[in-house]
Amino acid sequence: RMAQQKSFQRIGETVWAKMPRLNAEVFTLTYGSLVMQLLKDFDDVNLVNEQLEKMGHNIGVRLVDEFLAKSGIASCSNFRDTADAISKIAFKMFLGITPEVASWNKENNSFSLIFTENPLVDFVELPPKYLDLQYCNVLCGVIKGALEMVQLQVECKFIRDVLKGDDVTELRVELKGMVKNAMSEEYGEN
Amino acid sequence: QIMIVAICIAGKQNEPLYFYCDSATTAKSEFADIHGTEKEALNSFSSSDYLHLQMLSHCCLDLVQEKKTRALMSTSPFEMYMGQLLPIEDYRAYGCYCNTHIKFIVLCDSFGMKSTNVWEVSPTVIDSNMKEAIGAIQAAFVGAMQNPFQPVGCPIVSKKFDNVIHQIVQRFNSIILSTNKRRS
Repeated sequence: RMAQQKSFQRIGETVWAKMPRLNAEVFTLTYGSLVMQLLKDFDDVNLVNEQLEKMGHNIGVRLVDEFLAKSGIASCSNFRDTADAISKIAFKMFLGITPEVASWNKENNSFSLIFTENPLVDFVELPPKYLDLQYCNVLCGVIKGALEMVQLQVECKFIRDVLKGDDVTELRVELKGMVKNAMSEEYGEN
Repeated sequence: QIMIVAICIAGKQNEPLYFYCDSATTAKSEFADIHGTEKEALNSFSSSDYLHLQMLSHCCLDLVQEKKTRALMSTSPFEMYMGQLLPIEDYRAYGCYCNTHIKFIVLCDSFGMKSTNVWEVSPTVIDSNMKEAIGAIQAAFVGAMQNPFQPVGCPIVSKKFDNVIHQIVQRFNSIILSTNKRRS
């Protein structure tokens, strides 16, 4: 188990080294202005959270192909491997960070990702009126969308957030089941 | 003992973006916590010192403007840091003017001038440390503006920024104090 984790770490670092670079401030400011614009357009914080997750979902379903191609990972034998792959390879190659996988439940179908650093929230301070805003909700959408494409249905939500005064940001991922491979209605039999 | 008494950040139209004042600073941030609005935070004062220092900083803005136009007319390269602007009442004012028309003014209290003690720290020492301090203030300002929830051109409301400014002031004061001790 440890050997596989180490190999995942190595893969993550190798792929990260080969990825094209983007200035961190440009990235943080872009995401920040995106969130601000959504807040202006939608007024309701819950709608903004929803939009961020939808956007993340769109990103995730496309990003997963790049992940599989660049990392060379074939398939994960269990959900624990999936968690390690997400944390050590996916997050590393796209954001350069490795959130810690922790808090597994008894049935091994639910875990937490603990972020001690996060490029999305550099310099961000949440004003009190936006206390219900899930600033990084796009990440929830990305994980959900990406895993959907490999037939895993998950629910993601933030249960701790540094922007709200906690010492770390914690993202809870829960496996809900396998995605049924349904053909679109065009191919249905009449 | 020389120490920073007030820091003022002014915007393009000389509107106040931030004001730090030694004596009234705790009172100001407490006020902001209760009411949470920027306008009230800036208007709050619990001691006459606060208003007085604001007024002095305002006077310095004129001098900054004057120095800037004079510098632009001369052929030498434009320097952001202006050094000591003028001795004003019991304080000395230092200024910095950025290309984005943001002005930083720092008021320094010199204990030596108020009392009978001869001023022991040389002006060049203060100047170089002040340059460093203003550079740090500028960097902190840039950081505060990177917060997407901080509207541009509005007063800065940020606990993180308050803490950083406080640290810069402490650092400057302790460096000057240690220089003073070494000489005496």
